[in-house]
Amino acid sequence: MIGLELLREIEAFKGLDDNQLVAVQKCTEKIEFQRGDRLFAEGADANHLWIVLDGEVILRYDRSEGRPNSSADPISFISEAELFGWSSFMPPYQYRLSAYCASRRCEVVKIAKDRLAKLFEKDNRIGFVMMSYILRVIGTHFYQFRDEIAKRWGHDIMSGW
Amino acid sequence: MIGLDFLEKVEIFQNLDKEQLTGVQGCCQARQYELGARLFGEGEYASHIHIVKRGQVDLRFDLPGRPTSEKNTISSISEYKVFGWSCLVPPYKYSLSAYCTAKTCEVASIEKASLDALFEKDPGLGYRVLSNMAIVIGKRFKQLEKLASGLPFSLVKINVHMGTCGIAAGAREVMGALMDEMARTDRQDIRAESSGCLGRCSTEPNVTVEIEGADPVVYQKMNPARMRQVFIQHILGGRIQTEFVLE
Repeated sequence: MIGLELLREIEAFKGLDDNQLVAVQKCTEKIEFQRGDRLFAEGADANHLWIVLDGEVILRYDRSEGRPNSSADPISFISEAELFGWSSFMPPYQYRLSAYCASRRCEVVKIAKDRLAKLFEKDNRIGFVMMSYILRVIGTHFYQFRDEIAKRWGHDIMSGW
Repeated sequence: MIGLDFLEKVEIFQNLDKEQLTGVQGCCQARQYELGARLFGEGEYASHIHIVKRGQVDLRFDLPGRPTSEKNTISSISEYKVFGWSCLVPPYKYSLSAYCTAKTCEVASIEKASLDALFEKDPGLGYRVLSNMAIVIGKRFKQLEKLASGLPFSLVKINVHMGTCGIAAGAREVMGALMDEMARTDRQDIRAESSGCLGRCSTEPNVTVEIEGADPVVYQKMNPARMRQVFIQHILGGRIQTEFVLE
């Protein structure tokens, strides 16, 4: 479980009152990793949301077949206060990428998705505030991915003239 | 008026009760578009979220100075499907343009401000709609991944610098020769690009060759014959043509 002061500072929980934060707090777990440790694997069931408290996490593909990035290429760097593991809220509820600790050590909050979903059902206000934030993160990543495709596609069309 | 029987089938309004659906209904405006009409443009403020009631809407990226084309379609939105959800995500700007691609399209549009007010009044409604939206985006992520896996990715990029100085020095002819050579090969991993001046106007036309895993090579004072030589010897043969390389 992580401290209330710390929870208040995290963007994903902005807009929640202390009672709601206490309820969220019960779903959290603080974990430390060392450089190179894997937090989760691509394709595994996405049962948790994660937030970096200290250090850095990289997300990358483990399986590189048919992809422009080699398996060693990081897709994103996640720094302090950033949320990841949002595949836990999207079908097929499997992690799209693997996550590794990229700094000497990193400290992360691990939030059980099932417990969080029950909490959202019980207190819709918490659900609304947190889903607004999660959707923002998902939307931003979706746009980045779509822009990358549009860029590649646009280049192909431009190259065809 | 948009009917409740339609709204209850909409992907983002699943699991809403009748009262919540009635609230949504009160914010809906019915709109009609003709074939080819643009509903909104890329980069515009995302003032509404939309749902296709009848017909089809294509989401496309626009290329500067070129008319819209179905080749630029990223996704096609059919009945009961939502688009324009940029109004739920900062910076609240449409990331693609939307075009009516059926003879006529009927669309239900909900203003962002009305939706925000509805969510604020009933967080349960907000929570369900946003959760459904996450599921919709998840499915579209999968579609995009499928689309992306079918696209070739380039291992070789050839950039012809086509600033005013480059064009004056013959960059268009160099690009023409490059296109001819590219048409003769079946390599899908080679991409031609154009960009502005490199800042070395006296050596134009300049061409930058980037091959994955190697340092970029800039060629200077290019002409169609040199471009053909570079393409055959360097791109296809792997031998840098040092006599044309910009020091």
